[in-house]
Amino acid sequence: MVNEQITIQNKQGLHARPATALVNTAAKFKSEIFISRDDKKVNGKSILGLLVLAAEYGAKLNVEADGPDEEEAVKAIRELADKHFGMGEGS
Amino acid sequence: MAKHENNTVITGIPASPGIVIGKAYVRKEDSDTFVPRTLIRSEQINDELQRLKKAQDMVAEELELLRKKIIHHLGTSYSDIISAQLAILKDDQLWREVENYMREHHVNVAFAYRFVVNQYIEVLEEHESEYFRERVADIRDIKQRVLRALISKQTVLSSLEIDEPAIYVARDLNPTDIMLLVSENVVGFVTEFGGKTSHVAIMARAMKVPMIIGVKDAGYRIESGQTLILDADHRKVIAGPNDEILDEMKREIRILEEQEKSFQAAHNKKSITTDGYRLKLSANISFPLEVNDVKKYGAEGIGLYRTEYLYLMKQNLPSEEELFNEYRHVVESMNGKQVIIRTIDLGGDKMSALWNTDVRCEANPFMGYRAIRICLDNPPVFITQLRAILRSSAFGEVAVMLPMITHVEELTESLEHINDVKQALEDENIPHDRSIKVGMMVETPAAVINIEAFADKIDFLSIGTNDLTQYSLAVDRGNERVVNIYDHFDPAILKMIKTVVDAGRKYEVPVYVCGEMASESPALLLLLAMKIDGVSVSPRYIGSVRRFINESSQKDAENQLEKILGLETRREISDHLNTLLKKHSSKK
Repeated sequence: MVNEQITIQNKQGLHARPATALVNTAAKFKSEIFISRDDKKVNGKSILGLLVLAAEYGAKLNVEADGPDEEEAVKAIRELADKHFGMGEGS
Repeated sequence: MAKHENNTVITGIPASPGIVIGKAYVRKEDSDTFVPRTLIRSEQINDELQRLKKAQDMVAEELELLRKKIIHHLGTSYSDIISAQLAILKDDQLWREVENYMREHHVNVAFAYRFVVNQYIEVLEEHESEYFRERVADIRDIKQRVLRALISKQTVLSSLEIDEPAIYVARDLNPTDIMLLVSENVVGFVTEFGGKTSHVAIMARAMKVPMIIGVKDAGYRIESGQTLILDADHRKVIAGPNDEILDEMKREIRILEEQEKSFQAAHNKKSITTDGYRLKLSANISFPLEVNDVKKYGAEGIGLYRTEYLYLMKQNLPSEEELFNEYRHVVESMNGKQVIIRTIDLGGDKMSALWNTDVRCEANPFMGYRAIRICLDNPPVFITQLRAILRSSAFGEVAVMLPMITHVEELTESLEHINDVKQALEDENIPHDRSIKVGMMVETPAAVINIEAFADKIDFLSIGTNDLTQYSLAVDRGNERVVNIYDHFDPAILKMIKTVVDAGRKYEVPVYVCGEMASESPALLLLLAMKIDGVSVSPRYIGSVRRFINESSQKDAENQLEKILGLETRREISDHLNTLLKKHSSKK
């Protein structure tokens, strides 16, 4: 199992569009992926789950992957978060 | 059948003009509330899940179709809403939870689906951020669609099954419904809810489909299959009209169609009075797709290009590139005719999703955080739009217009931003019109009283009579109890318009009027009398306004001006104008 913390850099938080991007990335991996914030833990492949986290700008999330490609999965998600989930610097 | 021919006249608020006749299609709204709960055996669970899969596929297909239509009408950037909805629809976790719930409680799939989705909705609804609470609407929309598909095996479209023109009756509609339904034989809309300035109304107007909103109990008073006359021009719906009324309406529609043809045939005519006074007749648009109409009726330019649509119904601020492409498209399709692009005129209430601050709960939004105030407070947003506008100016005749200017400082600060943007584009070697014209909306009493200070610094003035009337008479025109106070012919409003026109003359800057007022004959008479330099109206009024101008004499109108400005009451003013109009039409 691999763990890593990411910070939401999108000004409008992890709303539907970036959450969709995260789900699409997570879905590419065989590993189970969980995203948690405080005591809430949700399936990283579920958009509804991610929306429930309601992660705003600056929120710190824990990414956890467990499976054959766990290393790659966590790395891909961290890179995605660093790139504002593909939505540009200003978003 | 008695019920099918009962001439019920129901009144409502016109949201999009026009008259149409069609068969009523009343949308059933019970798919959410009446989800039956039936017990099932374990071996039925797989069959039930198969049904859910089928329902999801039906909904996905409909959403894909919707996405295509949105891209066609509004451009790619709007289709994001649909991508998010599709992701919600296909959420695996949700699927698993539904399955678990069914195994645990032995209930049918519709019940389980509704239960599980509602749990998510409840959590999100309680969230403190308005923004996340708002996403509930998307989830609810998906839930409705899936349940409808599960229970009645129908989607919004497949449930229609109409082969003749239909008028769609629903409790409420969202803008995407309008887009989906128009072109599927739906020729009009009737709803119980919705505001005149809501997105739905704007969308219906842009798609040129008549719509009446605020029809109480429409779903009960109108029956599916009944013949319906939707007369938005006279604020009414007639359910089950008798032959006499039907014939009368058909005649009226024919007259309108004839008129329409003659207006289009006159699209090359100049807007010039019998005694040779020429004014500029332009069109107001809210969506690029309206440019077709602007050209069809032959407007001399776009006097007001409202740019709010690119910021609404979206989850993100548009990029410079996105804005530039839109503006360029409109500018190019106008072939060198002037396009006046107004910078965003939004209230904080409509835009809070785009800011970090929650300004949704303003007690008095019309006097709050809006339009130029938002722009000057968020320079990056303003500069992005200004860059896009200036870049589009390389492709035709473009002007910038600033909304809701109240203080001189707001104007000077805006002008500084424009100069900075020009300089930056210059440095980057990006083509643009260096002497682009900059104008302002005159819509606050303060701007009128202090108009000379503004006229001195600007290339044109455009009076927004709707807001000016609202602010000057301190009346909210959406409020039924005081709406009778709202009147362009109030002597105070006329004097204000005169003040602005006089300042324009003194400083040699053209003065235009771009409010609804300019499409009405009595007001046109008055504006001609004051020698207004131009008017800008919604595309459908271009024809009638031009005809009126062509049949009027500017001198005759001007001779009445002193008398009109001397009148003390609204009543006297409109009576006098109407008497003049009668003489006007009898002279023809």
